[in-house]
Amino acid sequence: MKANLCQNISLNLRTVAFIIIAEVIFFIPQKSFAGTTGILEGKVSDQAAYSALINVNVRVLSTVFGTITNEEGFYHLNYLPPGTYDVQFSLVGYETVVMKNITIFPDRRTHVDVPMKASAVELKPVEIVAKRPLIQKDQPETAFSIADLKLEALPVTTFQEVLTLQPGTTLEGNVRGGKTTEVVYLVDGLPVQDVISGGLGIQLPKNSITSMTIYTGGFDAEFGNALSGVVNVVTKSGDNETHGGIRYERDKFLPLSLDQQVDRRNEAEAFIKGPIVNDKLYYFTSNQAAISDTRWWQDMQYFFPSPVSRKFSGLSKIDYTPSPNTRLTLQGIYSMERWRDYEFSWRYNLAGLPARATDTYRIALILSKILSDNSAFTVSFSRYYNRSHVGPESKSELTIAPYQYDFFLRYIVSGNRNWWAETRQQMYTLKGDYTSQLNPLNLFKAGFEINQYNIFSDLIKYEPQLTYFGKPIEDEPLLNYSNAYNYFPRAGSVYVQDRIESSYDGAILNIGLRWDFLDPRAERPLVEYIPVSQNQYQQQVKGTAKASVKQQISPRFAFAAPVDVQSMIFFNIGYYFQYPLFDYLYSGINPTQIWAGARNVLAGNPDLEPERTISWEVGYKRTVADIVAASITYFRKSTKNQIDSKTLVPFDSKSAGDFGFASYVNDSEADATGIEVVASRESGERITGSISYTYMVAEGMSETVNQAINLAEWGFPIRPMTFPLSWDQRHSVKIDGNVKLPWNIQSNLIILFNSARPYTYFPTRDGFTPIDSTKDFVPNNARMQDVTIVNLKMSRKFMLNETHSTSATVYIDMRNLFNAKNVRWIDSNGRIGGELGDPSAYYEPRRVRMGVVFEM
Amino acid sequence: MMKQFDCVARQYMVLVIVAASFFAFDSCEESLPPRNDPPKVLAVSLSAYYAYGYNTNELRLTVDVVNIYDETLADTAAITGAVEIVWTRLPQYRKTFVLSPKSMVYYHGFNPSTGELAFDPGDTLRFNYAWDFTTDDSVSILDDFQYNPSCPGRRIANSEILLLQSSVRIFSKVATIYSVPQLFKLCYIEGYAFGCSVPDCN
Repeated sequence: MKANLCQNISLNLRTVAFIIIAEVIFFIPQKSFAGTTGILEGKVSDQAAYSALINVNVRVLSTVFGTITNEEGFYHLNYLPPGTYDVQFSLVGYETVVMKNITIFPDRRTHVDVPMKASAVELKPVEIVAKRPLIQKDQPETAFSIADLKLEALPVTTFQEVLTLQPGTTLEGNVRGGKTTEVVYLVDGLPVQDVISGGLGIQLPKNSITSMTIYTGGFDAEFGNALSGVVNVVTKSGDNETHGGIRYERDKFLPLSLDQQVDRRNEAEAFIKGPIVNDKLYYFTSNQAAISDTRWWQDMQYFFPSPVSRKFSGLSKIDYTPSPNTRLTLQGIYSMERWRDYEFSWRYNLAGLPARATDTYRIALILSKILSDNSAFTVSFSRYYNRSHVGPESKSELTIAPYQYDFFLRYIVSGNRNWWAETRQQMYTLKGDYTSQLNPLNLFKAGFEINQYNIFSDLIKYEPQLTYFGKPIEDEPLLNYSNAYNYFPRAGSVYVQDRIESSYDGAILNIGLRWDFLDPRAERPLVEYIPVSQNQYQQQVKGTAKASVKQQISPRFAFAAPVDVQSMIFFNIGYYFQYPLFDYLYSGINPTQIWAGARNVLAGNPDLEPERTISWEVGYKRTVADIVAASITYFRKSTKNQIDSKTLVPFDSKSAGDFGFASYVNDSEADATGIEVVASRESGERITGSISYTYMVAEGMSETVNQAINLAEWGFPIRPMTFPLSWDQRHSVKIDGNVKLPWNIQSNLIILFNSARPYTYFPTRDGFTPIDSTKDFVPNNARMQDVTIVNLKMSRKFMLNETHSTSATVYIDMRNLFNAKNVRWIDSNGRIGGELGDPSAYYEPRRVRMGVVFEM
Repeated sequence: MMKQFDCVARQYMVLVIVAASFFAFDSCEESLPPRNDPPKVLAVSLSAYYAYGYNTNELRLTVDVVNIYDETLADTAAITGAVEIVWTRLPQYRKTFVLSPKSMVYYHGFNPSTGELAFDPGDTLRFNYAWDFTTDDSVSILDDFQYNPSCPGRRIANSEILLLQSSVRIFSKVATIYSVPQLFKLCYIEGYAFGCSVPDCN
């Protein structure tokens, strides 16, 4: 027996040891820090006697982080940057254990208990691959964490696409029935929104992301200004290990005569990290360039030189750790994009569409300090700058004239779109978070954030008046959307949250409170429209009224409790709100411009209230057969104060005439409800993955901020009624499967099924009047077709030099593998792509990319 | 069991690679839709009636061109075309009227001085012609009719079948359109006499 044991031990002297699926217990409970670091803790015990081991040396390899266990065998490491680590546990008289692939997520406490085996002989470390728990019994919200290894394996181009793979989301990025602009994106805890037009304001290189956490329900008081979801991206940092690589991929390998399913895309990335001064100063940088001629290269090539689209992004970081308790990070992110718009009706005059450019920069200084074993704080200061430009370089180069259609009035054959814009937004953010473990069962967190904005917009835009069916009304003057403004709004928030754990059964109670304010720092002009003749008005500014400061209190409550060893329930409810985009506040209200006679079709309203949502969910999770985690969650959301537009007529007017003038108002609402069923397997030798089914209903009174003014322009009556929203996707199934194939080939298969979304069927014979004028215009009264997309990514890593960890990974990334023609939109006559058969009515056809990553 | 899994996994992988290769390259066409002008934007109809009376005896023809497109077509008018009458019994006898703006009797949107035409959806251009029963060679066909002798002093011809067809081009950017060829039954009546009943033209 002893000889066999020795034999076994000698076999275990290999560095890459056996894989033991150890019974380690993870708790990944509480949100803790500033959204950019996590905690690692646990208990070390004697494997045979189960007694606590004291003074065990715990070291996170390749970092400066380390500690020792206390008299109860516990260890605790705060402020670990997110990432995947190997952690070494060593004690004289015991086999050294290396726990591999421990993933630290931001705002998560990772609990790893380690059994150690006594040994009189000093042996090579035993390596154990850590396994995450199937369910997190004290997580009272719906959140999905994705580590960098998973991100690399997914067939996605940008990190936003990862959101669309989660339950309860659409292909466009709607979360649980909300608008896409209701999702907040954070990079290292700091916002990166486009606060003028909405959406994400920055791109990141693929290899710069260490983890993403996506909250689709029940996010804490720490997160604000979001109605539907929060995506928190944490970027990589340097450490003591120098590591770098380059990546290159393209989608064109054959002559175009043989393969037209390309965007003529080339993408390259270079990344490197390492120490400047060991254990003190580190650096990380990743830079990516992507050029392509877009999906429309066959038309683009006649007008523009290649490449038509150019995107550059990069992230650089310097981390300074004067002590293990202090970390100072200087971070810079940039993102530049140049492209040309494509519209099918302009395909014979694409040069008439304006050139587009976006530049975004962010620089941040982040200080993290561990005050004691139980408390820590983070303070950050950042400057975010976003510039967007439309049209020729200089405003004077724009000539306002209607563009010309061809003889059949289908394609625009000459002239330019009358659009020039220069918008700039700067945001200075000061943010602080304090965390304190008041006692072993009580975690307290508080924080503040102050944002000072500089919002500038100079827009010249004239559009022809169109019928609902898209026909230009030639006798009508062009609609003027021009405006210019420069405002300095200010916003801020304060939050407190407390997490209480029951010592009896580990149940968790989360209580949070958040206070937000927005000071528009603007004045609303008091405008009278004096009728001078029938259907003609003269604007007169009679005075101004200061816009008030908007405040909001948002309580959050969450509860989670184990039901038995294998299952748990959770419930959360919260008030959430989101301030309007600044363009809705400020466009067209400049008193000087109005006094000068400028007349904007749609005027901003600086007194807009925030949109508000009350959302709750209840869920049940359990493990099945110790390998699968299953959950079922019911959610409900009710949104009020949604922004729409309203046509306004002066009280002393003689007649309404044209649709008067319009302004943004809060007068709409929406509801969403649904059930999500998820089964996932996150650990396994060969196969891991998840499958989810979501049933969801999303209905509302308005789906765009221009709805009311559009209806007035088209001559349809405005009736307050609820209808299915365009993203009302009743059924969706998502499959995400990872299979480790022989010959070390990794494969990741994504299958997305989305049931038909609504569209408005309201046919016309002549493009001006409906066929049946007795029927009311009812939005979204018909359904399109189901959408099914299959994406597959396969990769194989070749070790070129084991000593220097030099490797080459070859991958093939196939999107829409079966080249399905999935319908994206249908016109009101029920024609896919309208009368021109616009191919943009279908989602992108199959695309195959191949790439290689060299790392060392 | 691991060996069995390996075997299955290898088969799966081969299948995936083969399938992926097949689907990746089975059809790599992705051409954008060609530009096809709308096939039918104008419609033409030809109608005729036999007008006879005290001072009138002619076949009157009307050509109507309608804009059946959902947009106003505007351009310099390039009106060409013809109306053709062919006597089916004696096809050597035929008459051709050439279309021109001068024969338009209804032309909303047409400016004769500039030649510009703005043809609104649903609007009609109308051309009128009158045939005096002479051919393109100026030959009268009246003597070739077969007359009913029942009424002295008045010639009432048996029915004859005429083939009527027209072709029209309004704009240079719109192809020539053709009316549906139709057969017209003509019973020529000469003169006007009291006391004679005119039989149905059959």
